[in-house]
Amino acid sequence: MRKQKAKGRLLPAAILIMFSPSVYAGGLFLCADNNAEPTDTVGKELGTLTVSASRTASPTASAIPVQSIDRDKMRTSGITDISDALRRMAGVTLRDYGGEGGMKTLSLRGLGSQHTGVLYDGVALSDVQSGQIDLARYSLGSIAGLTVNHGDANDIFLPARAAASAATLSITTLRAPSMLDENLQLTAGIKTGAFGYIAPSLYIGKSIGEKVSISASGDFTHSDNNFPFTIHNGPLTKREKRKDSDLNSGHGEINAAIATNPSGTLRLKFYGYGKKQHLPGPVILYSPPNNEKLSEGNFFGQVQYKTRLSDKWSLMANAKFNWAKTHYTDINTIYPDGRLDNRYIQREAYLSAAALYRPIRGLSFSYAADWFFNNMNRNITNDPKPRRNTVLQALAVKWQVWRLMLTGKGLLSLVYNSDADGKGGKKAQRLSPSISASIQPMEKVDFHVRASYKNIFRMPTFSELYFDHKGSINLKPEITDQINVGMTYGSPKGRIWDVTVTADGYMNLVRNKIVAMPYNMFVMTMTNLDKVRVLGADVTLNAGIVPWDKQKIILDATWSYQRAATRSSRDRLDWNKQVAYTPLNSGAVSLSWDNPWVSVSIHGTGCSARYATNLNIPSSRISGYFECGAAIWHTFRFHGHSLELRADLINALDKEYELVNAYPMPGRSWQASVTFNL
Amino acid sequence: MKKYLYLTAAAAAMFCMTACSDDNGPDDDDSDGKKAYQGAYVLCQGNQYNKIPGNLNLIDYATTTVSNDLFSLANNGMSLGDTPQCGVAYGSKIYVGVSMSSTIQIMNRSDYKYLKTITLPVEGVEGTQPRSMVAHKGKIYISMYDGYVARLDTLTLQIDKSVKVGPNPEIMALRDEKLYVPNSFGMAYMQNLPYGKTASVVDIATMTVTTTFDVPENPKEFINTTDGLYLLCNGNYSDAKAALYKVDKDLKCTEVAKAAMAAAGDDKIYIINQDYYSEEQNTYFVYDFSTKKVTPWEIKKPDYPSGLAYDKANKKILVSSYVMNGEYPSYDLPGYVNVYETDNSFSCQYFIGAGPTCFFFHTK
Repeated sequence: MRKQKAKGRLLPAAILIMFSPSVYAGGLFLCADNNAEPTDTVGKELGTLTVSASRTASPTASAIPVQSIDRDKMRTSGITDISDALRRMAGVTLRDYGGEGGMKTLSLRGLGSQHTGVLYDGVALSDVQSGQIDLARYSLGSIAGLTVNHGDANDIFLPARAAASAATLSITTLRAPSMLDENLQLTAGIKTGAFGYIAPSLYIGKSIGEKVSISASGDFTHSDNNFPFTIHNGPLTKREKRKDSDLNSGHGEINAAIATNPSGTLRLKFYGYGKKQHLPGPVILYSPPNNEKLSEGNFFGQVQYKTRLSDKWSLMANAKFNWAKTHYTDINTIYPDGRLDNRYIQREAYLSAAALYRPIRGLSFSYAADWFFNNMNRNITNDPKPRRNTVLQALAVKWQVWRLMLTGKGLLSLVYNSDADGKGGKKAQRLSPSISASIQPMEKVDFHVRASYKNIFRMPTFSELYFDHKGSINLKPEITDQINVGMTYGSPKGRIWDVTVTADGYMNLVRNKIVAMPYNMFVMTMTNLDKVRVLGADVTLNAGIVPWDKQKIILDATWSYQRAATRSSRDRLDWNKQVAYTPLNSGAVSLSWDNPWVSVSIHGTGCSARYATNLNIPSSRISGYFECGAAIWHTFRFHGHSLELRADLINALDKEYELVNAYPMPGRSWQASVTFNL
Repeated sequence: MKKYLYLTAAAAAMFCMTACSDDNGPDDDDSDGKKAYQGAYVLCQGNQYNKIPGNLNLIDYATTTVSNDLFSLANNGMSLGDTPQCGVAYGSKIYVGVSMSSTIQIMNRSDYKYLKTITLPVEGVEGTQPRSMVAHKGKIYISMYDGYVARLDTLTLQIDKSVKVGPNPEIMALRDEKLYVPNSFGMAYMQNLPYGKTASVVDIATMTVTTTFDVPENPKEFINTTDGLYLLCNGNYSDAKAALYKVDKDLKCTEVAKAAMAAAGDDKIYIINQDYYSEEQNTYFVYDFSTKKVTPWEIKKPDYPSGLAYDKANKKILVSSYVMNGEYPSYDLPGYVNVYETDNSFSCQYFIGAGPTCFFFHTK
C-alpha cells in the first residue's frame, strides 16, 4: 500500500559563510543574554552590537536549555548550511530530503516538527497548512545566529506567541547596523560548490544621521542538485544521479531602525522570497522520471516598536502581514489532462502588544496580548477555505533574588477555526503554564542547577482538519508536557582556556498525538490517537584554548539520547517501541584551529539507526551514520577591510546515508567561497 | 495473541515458509512448477513509503505451506520494485506489474529466476503504471493507470501495442474476446472532481476500443462469471456507496448488492462490504446466481480484509487480511491469507508480506 509521498517539497538553502567580525560581531543574537531586560535606549541597544564578543554567549545562567550558533561559530565549526548547523545542536532531529532544495524540518526532543516554533527576528513564522516551517529557504548568508530554546525563554518581555510552542528556533538576521557607526557597511560574498551550486549574497547597511539606520540584504541560490547516489537491489548496485532536482531561489529584505523619543525604537522589515524547483521525488527502483515542480513566493512586512517609558515600565508592539503562495505541478499522464496544478495561498495578519513592569529590582512582570488571523485557499472548486482566529494572552513573572532566578508564565489561548462553507472544527481554549528555576549554589563558581516545566499544545493544521481526509474536523489539539532538569558549568574567565558544559535530562509527554489511520479499506482519517513519552538527555561541551596570541583551538561536542516511545495502548504492537525517525543516540563534534595563517576545522555529525515505522519493523530500519567534513580558510585584512577565502569538504568519507527513507543525502562534495567586508 | 501473530509472521518471512500443520518437511524442489496447480500466488504491495518491500508468495494447499518472498530469495535479494500491483502465471513464466516503479518483471515460473525487466513506457508504445493483467492466447493484456491497455507478446517478451482508454483504468475482465475496462478516474480526488463513470470495451483482435459505456461512479473491477459480466464500483466514499452491479447484454448496470470487494465463484459471488461512513465491521455476503438473492456468508472472519479471490481450479476462496495494531489495521505489518472451502469451512491461514491485495492462479 503506497501512500502518496508527502508532497515532497524540496527547497533551497542558499549558503554563504561570511565572516564579519567587526561589523555585526556576535552580539546580535536573541539569546545572547537571556537575562537581559530591555535596558535599551536605541543608542545603547544598538551600540552594544558592536562591542560584544564574537563568541556565543554562555548558556550557563539560563533556566532552560538554550543552544546558540552564531556567525563566528558557523565559520569556525565548518558549518555549510542550516541543516548542518542544526545537526550540531543537542536534542535536534532533522528531516532532510537531501540536497540544496530538499525540505528540512526540525523536531526537538522527540516532539515532532509541528511543535517547533520558528521566530524570524523575534516574530513567529507560520504555515497553517502543514504546521511546520521548511528551513531550507533560510540561507546562512543572511543569518546572524540560530538559537534553540527548549521551553519558555528566560526573557519574559516577548510577544505571547513566543510561548505558544513547545520549543523554538530563533533565526536572527543581519539587520540594520548601529546608529553610532557612520561608515557604510558592506558584505559581499559568493559561494560555489559541487552539483552546479552557486550562491551570491550581499548586505549593505548605513546609518543616516543619529536617528535612522537602514540595511538591505539579498541572496540567490542556484543548484542543479544532480548529486550521485547508489541504488542497491540485491546483488546489483547502480550508481545514479539525482535527476529533475534543479533549484533557483532568492531572498531579499530591507530593514530599518528609527530612534524615536523619548527612548523608543521602531524597527521595520520587508521580506520577499521566491523559489522555483523541480522535485526529484523518492528514489524508486529503476527511478521513473519525476516531473513535479514547486514554486513558492512569500512576502511579509513586520514592524516592531519598543520603548522604555520609565525605570519601571517598558512597552512593545509588533505587527505583521504575511502572504505566501505555493504552486505545485505534477506533469504526469495519470491525470486526464496530463497535469496536476495546485496553487495554495496563505495569509496571516498579526498584532501583538506587551508591557513589562519592574516594581523593584530583581522582580518583573509582563503581560502580552496577541491576535492573529490565518486563512488559506486552493485553486480547486468545492475546496474548503479554512480560516482561524487566535487570541493569546500571556502573564509572566520573573524574580531574581540571591543567586536564584524564578520564572513563571501562564498562556491563555483561544483558537477559533471556521471554514467558508460553515464547517467548524473544534475551537480550543486552554491555559498553559510554564515555570523555570535556576540556582547558582556557589557565588564564585559559574555552576548552575536548573529545572523547568512547560505545558503547551499545538492546534491541528489545516491539512489535518480539512484536506483529503475523512471526518477530521473534530480533531483536538495535541498536548505536550515537558520537564527538564539540568546543570551547567562555565570555567572562570580570563584564563588561556575556557570550558562550558551543560547536561540536561528531560521527560516529554505527548497526548492526543495526531496520526493518520485507516478509516476503512480505502480512506485514511486523522485521529488523536497516540501517546508518546520521551526520556532523554542532552550534553553539550564547548572548550577553547588560546595557546599563543591570535590563535585559538576550539572543541565543540554535543550528544543526545532520545528514548521516544509510543505508549498509546498496551494492546498495540507498537507499545513502547521507538517513535519513527527518532534516533536513540545522536551527536556532533568539531575541532578547529583558528590562526593567522590557514585556519582549519574538522567536524562530524551522526546518529544511530532509526526506523521508518513506529512498529520498528526490521525492513524499515534506516542505518545510522557518521559523516565528517573539513574546512580551511584564511582572512586577508587590509585598510580595515577583510577578504576571506574558504574551502569546505563535505561528507569527506563519502558516507551513504538518508535522513528520510528513499531520499539520499549527498556524498562527498566541496564548496568554496569568497567573502569581502568593507 | 497479537504479538504472537506478529512474531509468527516475522518468522515466516525469515524462513520463507510457514505452515498450518506441523508436518511440513523441507520444500522439495519442484522445478516444473506443478505446485502452482494446487496453489495460489499472492502479491503483497508492501509499503515503500515506510521502507517495507512488496513481494511474491505462493500458497500450497496440499502441504498447507506458503513460500514467502519467492523472487528475492531466488535472485540474491533483488526486489520486485516499488508496489507490485498485479501479476499472472502464464506458460513457463510469471509476469508482475509494478506500479510505482512502472515496470513489468518477468521471471521463470519454475524457479523464479529473473528473466527481464520491461521499463515503461517502452519506446513507441504508450502506457505506464501497470494496474491489472489478463493472459490470453499467447498475449498478456495490461491496464495501465495512465490510461492505456497494452499488449505484451509472451514469445518476444515485448510490449507491441496499446490502446487509449481511461482515465485511470482499473481491473479488467476478458469475455468473448473483449476486454472490459473500468475507467475509474481514481486521481479525481486530487482536484475535487467527480470520479469516472465510464467503461471501455477493447476488441483484442484489433486492439481498438469498440464501445465506451456509462457505468456507476468509480468503477473498480469487472468480474467475468458463469452468470455474465459483473462490475464492482467504489462510489465516491460519500453518498454514492460502493456496490456490485450486474452488466446486462445492453451494457446497462443494475445493482446487486452493496460491496467493497467481490469474487466470482462457480455459482455465486462472494462479497465483502464496508460502509464508508460508519465504523461498522466489515460484512460478508454471497449472491447466488440461481436464486438471485444476497444472503450472509458465514465464515470465520479475518481481522481486516484487503483482498478477495476465488480459485476455480481448486475450489477455494481466499481472503487476505491486514493484522490489527490495536483497533486499527496495520499497513506495515505482514498480513495473512485465510483459505476457505466452498462449504464456507475454514481451511488454513497463511502468513505473508505487508499489504496482500492481489491473487493470481495458474493459467494454461
